[in-house]
Amino acid sequence: MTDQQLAGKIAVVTGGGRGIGRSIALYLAGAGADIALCSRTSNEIDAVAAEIRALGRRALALPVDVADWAQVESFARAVTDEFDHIDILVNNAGGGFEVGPVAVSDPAGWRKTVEINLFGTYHMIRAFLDDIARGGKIINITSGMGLEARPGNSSYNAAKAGAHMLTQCLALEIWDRGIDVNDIIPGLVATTNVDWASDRSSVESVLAEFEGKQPPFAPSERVKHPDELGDLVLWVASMPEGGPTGQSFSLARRPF
Amino acid sequence: MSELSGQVALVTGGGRGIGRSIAIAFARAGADLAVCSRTQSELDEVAEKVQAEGANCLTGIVDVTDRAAVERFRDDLIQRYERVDILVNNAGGGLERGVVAESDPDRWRRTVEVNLFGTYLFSRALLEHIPDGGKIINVSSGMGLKAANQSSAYNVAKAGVHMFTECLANELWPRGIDVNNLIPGPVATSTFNRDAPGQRTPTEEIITKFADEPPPQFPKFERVKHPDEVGELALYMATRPRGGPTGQTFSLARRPL
Repeated sequence: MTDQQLAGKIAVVTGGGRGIGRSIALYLAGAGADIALCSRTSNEIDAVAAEIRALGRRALALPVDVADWAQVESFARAVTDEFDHIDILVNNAGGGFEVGPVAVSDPAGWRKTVEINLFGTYHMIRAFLDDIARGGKIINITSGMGLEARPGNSSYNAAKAGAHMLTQCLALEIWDRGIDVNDIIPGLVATTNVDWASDRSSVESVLAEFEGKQPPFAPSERVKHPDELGDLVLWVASMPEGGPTGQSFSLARRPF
Repeated sequence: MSELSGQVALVTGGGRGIGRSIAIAFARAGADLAVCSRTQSELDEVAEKVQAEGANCLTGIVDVTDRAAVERFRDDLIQRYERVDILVNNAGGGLERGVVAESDPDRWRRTVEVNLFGTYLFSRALLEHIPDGGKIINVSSGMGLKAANQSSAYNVAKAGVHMFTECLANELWPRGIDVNNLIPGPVATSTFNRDAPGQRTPTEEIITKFADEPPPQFPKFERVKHPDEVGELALYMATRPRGGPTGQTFSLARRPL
């Protein structure tokens, strides 16, 4: 692998303004890809776009709510107007918006969790599928929580389980187009999703918060830096055509 | 590239096919090797390739189901290298092909012994010699996650390997040892080609034979790979930093499992 193994490639990263998505966008750009980014708010993706341009790559950043089909469709049009086609689609936008037992859950929060994690992934795939070139990659950021139930997280569990299955369904449908579809399971990462309460905590502050403390979920887990995900996604995105498809690549440290 | 320089790796079933590719990939990355199998001529050929990369190579004739033989090879290895940083439990194979109703109980048992008990025996024998930061890579199979036709012994044995990996990951994380499964998907080996005992169809010939379509037990979107592709994946897994994934499965398959 050279440092520019993605030279000439175009990648779309959802939820690319911070955390895992930002690291993925910067790693792919660092390997030579031009990047289209979206998130619900502009300020963070604009900053990441500036970092990508500083690497000498092209960047397009647009505010998009991935749960909104019309917004996703117009995003896809804007991206293909700018770049013609795409090679890599990373469905990273996600989050948990309803934490607590089903019995007392807020149906609106429960639905929103499924809409962003599952429908958001489906919408992006549906909108971009015609424009993904042969040899392309679709990479869905799912979760260990899509494979194992945990108390008080049913909406996130169910949404990520759906995204995991969507990965497998899509792999079966598009192998003959030479497009490989795989999951990434991050395990615990220092993002605002690990620390549900403190919105917009910095990576360093979350890492510091868990330093020397028993991590959530399992004592064997480790709270990782988002760049470790950037590195894994780059590896999966750089696989030759005919590489794995319908598989899951995980940085977790607990068996599922 | 010398990502593994100063490290010692043991590859079981390293005389040919996937094990051979893993051993050579590790040697190329700077590791010293210990390789065992049941065929001396194949071990000699691998040792020559490993040494051509500038690495040391200890070889041994070992039936992985024979506890005394495993422990003897362990003793030789410790005497030579003092420790092992990376253990690849690769030895395996399917010896009983057929429906349960007509199966040969000895061959059925032998399949479980080679794939599962062999993995256990090597792990058991070497565990205390793997330092902090070490890796165990178990070559399992998509067939350990999904039942096929007429392969119950192999299915069951590999399912056991898959679960053993997870059990061992839970036990070893406090020691900083990561344990993961590697699923190769179909690879052009004599096991995959169902060669008769002693028969060795060349890799390129198997790849050519299945270039258009894999054999009927696999969906048409599977691809029969070169063993070197598995060597690359094993090298990626072996070079993960400490605290990397453990209890996970890395697969080159092209069918959801």
